[in-house]
Amino acid sequence: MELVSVLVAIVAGAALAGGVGVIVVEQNNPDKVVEQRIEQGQKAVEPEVLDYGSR
Amino acid sequence: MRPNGPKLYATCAMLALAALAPVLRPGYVLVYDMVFTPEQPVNAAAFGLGDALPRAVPVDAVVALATQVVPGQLLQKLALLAIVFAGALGAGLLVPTDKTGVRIVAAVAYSWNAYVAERLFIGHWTLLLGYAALPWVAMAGLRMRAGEPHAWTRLVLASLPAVLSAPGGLLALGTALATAGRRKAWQVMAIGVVLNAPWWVPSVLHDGLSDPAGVEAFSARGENWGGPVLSVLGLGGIWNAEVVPVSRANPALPVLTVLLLGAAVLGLRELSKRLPVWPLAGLGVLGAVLALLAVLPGGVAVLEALIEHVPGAGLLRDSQKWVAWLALPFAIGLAVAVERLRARLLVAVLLLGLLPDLAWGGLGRLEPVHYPADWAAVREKLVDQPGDVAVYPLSAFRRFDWNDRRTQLDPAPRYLPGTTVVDDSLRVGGKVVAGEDPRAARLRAGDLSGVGWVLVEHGTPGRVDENLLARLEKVHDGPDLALYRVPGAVPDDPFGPPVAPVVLAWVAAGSLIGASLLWRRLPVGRFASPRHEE
Repeated sequence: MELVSVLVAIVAGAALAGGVGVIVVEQNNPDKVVEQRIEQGQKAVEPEVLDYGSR
Repeated sequence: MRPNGPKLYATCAMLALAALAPVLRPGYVLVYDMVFTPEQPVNAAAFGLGDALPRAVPVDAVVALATQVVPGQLLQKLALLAIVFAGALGAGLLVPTDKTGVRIVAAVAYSWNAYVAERLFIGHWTLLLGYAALPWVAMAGLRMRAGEPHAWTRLVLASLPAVLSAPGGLLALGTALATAGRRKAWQVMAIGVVLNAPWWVPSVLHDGLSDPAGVEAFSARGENWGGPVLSVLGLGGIWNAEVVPVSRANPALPVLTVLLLGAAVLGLRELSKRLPVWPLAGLGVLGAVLALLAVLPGGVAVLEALIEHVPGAGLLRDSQKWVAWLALPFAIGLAVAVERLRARLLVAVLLLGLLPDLAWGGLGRLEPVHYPADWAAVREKLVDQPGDVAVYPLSAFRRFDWNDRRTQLDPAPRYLPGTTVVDDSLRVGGKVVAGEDPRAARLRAGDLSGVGWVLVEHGTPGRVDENLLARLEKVHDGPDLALYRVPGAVPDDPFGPPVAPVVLAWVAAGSLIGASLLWRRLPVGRFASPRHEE
């Protein structure tokens, strides 16, 4: 019984995590953001000195 | 601890291909700190004798020497594949079990996680080579603990990928100490001191200190509602939001992190009956604490004081990297926790599903590109020419059209022959972290003394002082690069650390590696040992 519970939890976790993960990726993947920018005719403004990254 | 069948090897190969298949296309992957070039120059800085703190020693020397015989892009592909394949295989083999499925869970947990993804995407391939070596170091340490004759030679060879960088070397040393036990600690320390000498000797001889501003800029970061603590415990939490896989924002992650860690602890309890794993688990806790130090109350002040006054404490900057120590006990503990489950491979599927965007080179993050022809043309012009090269615009990082405007480290120091001076100050979210190279500081002040050439890279953000260029003689004018000769340039005197101790460090490390290879690969070891080692 305990084993079944663990398995159910794992499968549910996988489904939840995988599902949410895929949705988040779909909504936020870098290519999509770039495509949206192009569609909107926006041009990215480059800074004078490049950042190593942002927090 | 014997491998059981080819399934584990096949799984590790599939993991490596799933993550890195696009990398196998011709060209160079250039993202953030990862720079490979066709043939890296063999110069003093690569061996720790340059003006700046030796942050890429000894890896620069090793890559420079290797690319004299192997094309740089082939070396890069091998190194990247080795990270995932060797890390996964090592973790799988470390678990004392007869069940291949259990080994596969360990392999997936160790090689398909946020740490690997984030450090790959920020280009920290040398750190990851060290990470991949940790299971092998642990196996060698356990053999030393068991009193196996000449097991130290295994430790030396297993540590080689790790000692390519300072953090990797320390990660390996900690793992070896935790697994070899107290009785072998002095042997492990001696090996660690000698093997890591090529970076620590020039570092202590260098009188530079790091900028304490880096502590806050590079501290661990929360990736979801779990904040930095649960992000780090989930092996993520790198400072740079731009390299974090989007799946790390999954709202289920904090809960799953706690559940998986809990399962790993239960697994470690079971595993402790077969292996002395608690020191390794303790090291994992230490790694997590170090990673979180800068976000704990008062942590920033302590770290800033250390970095300001203690040479070498700059290693504690970007401290999230130390959570690598947690990954190994987590992976093997989780694997043993699911040993009794029939559907244990579902756990491996869960781990893959939690991080789908590590697949296929991070869904386009890791993509090989070709250098424009200008780079080879400028290189040709500078071969056998005296004088150092100053590179403009003054910025450590570049964003070229030919690399899909990815942020990447300036490739000039590793592409051009001779010595190149680049601006080594870093900007994080608009905040400047001062550099460590005194010559770069002079360059920022407009001082070209000791510089024989000026290279201007086009198509990347940043301005170049036209008045400065007007005083120079143009020798190459291409669409991507322009090269200028500085009239009447007088070479600078070397400003690096004294040569003799650095050479001695290299000789000592090389001798230890050579002796270990001889023991293991040539008959001399067999004759010297009364017992067969295997």
